[in-house]
Amino acid sequence: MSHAEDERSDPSTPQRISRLSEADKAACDRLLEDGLAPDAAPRNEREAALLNLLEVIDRYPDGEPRSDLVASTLARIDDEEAKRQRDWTVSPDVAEKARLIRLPDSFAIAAALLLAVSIGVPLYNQLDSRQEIASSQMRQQAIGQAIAGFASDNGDALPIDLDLFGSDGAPTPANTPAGHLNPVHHPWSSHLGVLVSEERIPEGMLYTKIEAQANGERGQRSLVAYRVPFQISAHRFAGTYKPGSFLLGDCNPVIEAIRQNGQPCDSGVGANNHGRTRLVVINFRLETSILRSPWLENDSSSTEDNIWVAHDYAHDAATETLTPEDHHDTVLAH
Amino acid sequence: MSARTDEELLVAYRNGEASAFPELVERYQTDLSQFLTRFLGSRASADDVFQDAFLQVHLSAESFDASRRFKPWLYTIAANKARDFHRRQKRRAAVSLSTPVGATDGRETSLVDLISDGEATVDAGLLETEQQTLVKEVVDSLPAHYREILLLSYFQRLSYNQIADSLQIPLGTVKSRLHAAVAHFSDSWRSAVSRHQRASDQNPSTNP
Repeated sequence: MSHAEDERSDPSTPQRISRLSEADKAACDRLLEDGLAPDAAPRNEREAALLNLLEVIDRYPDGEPRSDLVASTLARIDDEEAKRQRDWTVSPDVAEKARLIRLPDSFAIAAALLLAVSIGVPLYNQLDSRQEIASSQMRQQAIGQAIAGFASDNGDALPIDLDLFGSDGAPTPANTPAGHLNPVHHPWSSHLGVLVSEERIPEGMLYTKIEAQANGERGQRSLVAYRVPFQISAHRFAGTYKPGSFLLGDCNPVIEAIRQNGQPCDSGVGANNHGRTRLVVINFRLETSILRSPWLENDSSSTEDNIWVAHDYAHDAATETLTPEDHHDTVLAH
Repeated sequence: MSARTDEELLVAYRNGEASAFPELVERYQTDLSQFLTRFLGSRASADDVFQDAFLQVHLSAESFDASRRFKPWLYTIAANKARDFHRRQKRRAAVSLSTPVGATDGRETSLVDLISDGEATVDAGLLETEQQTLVKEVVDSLPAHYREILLLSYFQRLSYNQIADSLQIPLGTVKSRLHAAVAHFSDSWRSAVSRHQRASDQNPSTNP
């Protein structure tokens, strides 16, 4: 592989980002959304320019397909089939021996089963926990990609649904008082709902249905916590936050405890869905990490930052202190 | 060749009509080969992946839902096999598929407008072979996820819904990724043509 190939696929390589103008996006969708018609005729100059550009791909020098491609493909399938047949065939000798199981063999089998269970149960739990972690990683990776796509289409803005602020006095995005963003009382991850309405992710990625509530209604539970901004107008994919800073994470156990019992839990624990021993997060580079603790080294002030709560959080000071203090104060809420 | 649809041929094959499968392979010999050659940048690699894809079709024929279209299903398999091939060859880091769209991180952003850039899409006085070399250079240098979606949309004429099915990504992501791919391709093509023209101007003896 050439060095050039390495560079072009490395997402950390500095490069220019190109974007289509809104008019070009519309022309692109008009021509391609339902599948490009074989006799597609451009309706205007812009569509003609797009087709003109895409026709360049037709000049790719791919030559004629190999004449024996079909024959060699069929031969390969025959080979694989023959191999599979061999693998599944049991020779008559082996089959005969299998019938001769005696009493001592039965004891050995029982002992082996006991051993398998004693090893298997803890192993199963471990696998189950790994599956939970993998599931969190995959979910956050998919939502992170969708957020990046949303930001790309909206001038780098991160998803915010202003309608959700209505009951708090509908602050303007230009200068939102931080107090309105206290995530204890605000369903913060609901701001990601736009990703569902724009069909960037399925709803099941953000929420899971839960059974009847105390009031008899069925409800839904968030599956992910989302970065709480210090100021909405600066809530952007690039520029405001450090690339290694966290964008999403598992649900915040402190908020979950407050909402359920009116009291916060210890803020030093992991996420509830990982037995409070671990948490999964994804940063603005869309890299996921598995952390054992929500405490992070904070580069800017050489202090530690707990990503469940704000810098000035005091466990005894009840529930009003989960609002970020500045743009570098990471708080993930749902 | 029979006038049966692709879906009918696959159903016939899994019902025991062995001759239906070669017909299906032949139907896609040119199209899928060309798609894979453009995607992988090499004819030999494309041939390998073509065989892998049809082997998978053979192995998964039982699971094919006959009420759906065969072509997007085939391209889903082929695109997956092509990505696996990339990973095996370590030619491109797997993370390229998760490269954030628009993750600028201070990088320069250019707004592409196809009408004003249109002059770069004509042949610009290039010889046929020069054009082909430049097109290969530009297409091969696109990030894999852009190249893939551009080929599925333009070259294979799949609809956004079919692409979403093929790549198993949401419809909104198809749109934003395709827009980004077209912009990236336009920008790269324009740069390649002007680079070539500059080189020709500096060394006019190489031009006829």
